[in-house]
Amino acid sequence: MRKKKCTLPLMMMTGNKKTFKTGGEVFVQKKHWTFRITGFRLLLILFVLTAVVVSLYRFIFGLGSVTNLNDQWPWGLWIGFDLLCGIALAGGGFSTALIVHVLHKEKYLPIARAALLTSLIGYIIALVSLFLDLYHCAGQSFSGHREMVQFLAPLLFLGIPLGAVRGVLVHLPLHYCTDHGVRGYLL
Amino acid sequence: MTRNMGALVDITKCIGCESCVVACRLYNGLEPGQDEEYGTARDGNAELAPNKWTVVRSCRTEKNGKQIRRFVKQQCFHCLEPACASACFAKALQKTPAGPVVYNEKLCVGCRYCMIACPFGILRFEWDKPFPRVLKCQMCLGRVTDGQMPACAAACPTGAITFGDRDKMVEEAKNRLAANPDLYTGQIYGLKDAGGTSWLYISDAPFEQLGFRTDVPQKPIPEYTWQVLRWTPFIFVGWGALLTGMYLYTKRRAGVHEEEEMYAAVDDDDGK
Repeated sequence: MRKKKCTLPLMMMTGNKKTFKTGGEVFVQKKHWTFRITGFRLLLILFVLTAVVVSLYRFIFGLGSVTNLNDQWPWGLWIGFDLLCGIALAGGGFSTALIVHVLHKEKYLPIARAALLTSLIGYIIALVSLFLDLYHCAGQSFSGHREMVQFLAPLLFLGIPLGAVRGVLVHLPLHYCTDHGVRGYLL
Repeated sequence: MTRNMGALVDITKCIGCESCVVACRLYNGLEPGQDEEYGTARDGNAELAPNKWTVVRSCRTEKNGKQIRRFVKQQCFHCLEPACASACFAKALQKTPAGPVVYNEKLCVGCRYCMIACPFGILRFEWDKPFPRVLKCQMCLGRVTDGQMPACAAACPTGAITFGDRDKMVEEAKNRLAANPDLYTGQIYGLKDAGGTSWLYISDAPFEQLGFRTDVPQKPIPEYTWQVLRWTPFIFVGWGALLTGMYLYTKRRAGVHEEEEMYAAVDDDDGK
């Protein structure tokens, strides 16, 4: 039993040059950083600008004006979708990281890197939603009324129980949709 | 020794004058909204609001085949073991030894956990403010710790609200029920509901017809969460230990496997 030879090209990055080595040949490729504005990217930028305007609106007119929540539905779709989607997204990444780094299934390492990056983005989404939601807490912590622990408390305590609830709020409808189609879920 | 205060509302004595609503607003400095009217108890759609900590609801129901109309004063029940205070991780809502469940806006983060937790749906959120608060009846904490009765109880002209030690209020309610068994339904709302509340109600019409929630648990609600949450430290440590064990086991297994492969290669070379 011999170890298989690595057939993937070895890649080295030095400065702004990428060096590929496959067999005896060596390729040197200059790294290009471009951000071409495609139609889709333009659409995404428009989405971001809309979100910025809406969040400014929230900071002036309150949470009710942008989420349409009321005292009978204090969490509703706002928490279910906006906050929990980010945490649900992160959960998958952490599970993949567990498979690779705790269970040592190293062959999934390339997926785990991407998955962990996605997790990070997921938690950033959750943090942004928390900031929009719990601006009260942020504002007070900046004005020095509260300690850092009390500022971090919502991130810790809200995240854990909501993570459990997300199974019902996010996963179940999605599973149902894939089994029966969106039409089957709505009707 | 601090006294655990409570109030008894006798629905048969309430005439729906809303003096308590006005007294509450004056004492707590709650400004009415621009398009808000007094006397909403008349049409029966009075709703609690961030600037309205108590309301009087009008309920029409039937008794012995006759149409009757009753007025129900609504405010925070001030549970003996409040679910809102148990859900609040910032300790913004706390049960004071004197009885009132009070809110501290300096500690509140605005997560609305308390609103989800409250079995009576009492808490009101300032949805239109950039720095929102969660507001509810504070049972006039300053007056109560001072030995006075809350503003609403002091303002009641008909004696529908009696205020004193909670134990005495329970006794008083039982005495009234015993003295007039034909009038009252024989039940005290708040004696066991949600594990017992500081505000107690007696009535001559069934409570479910007066808009009371009669399906709340008879045990204190924090007890239910505690049955699960008490395992937290064990699960936290146990889960960590399990994962550490798996980490060490799979690492060692991979190491052994690699070593075997290495020696297998050497053996192959020797065999040539």
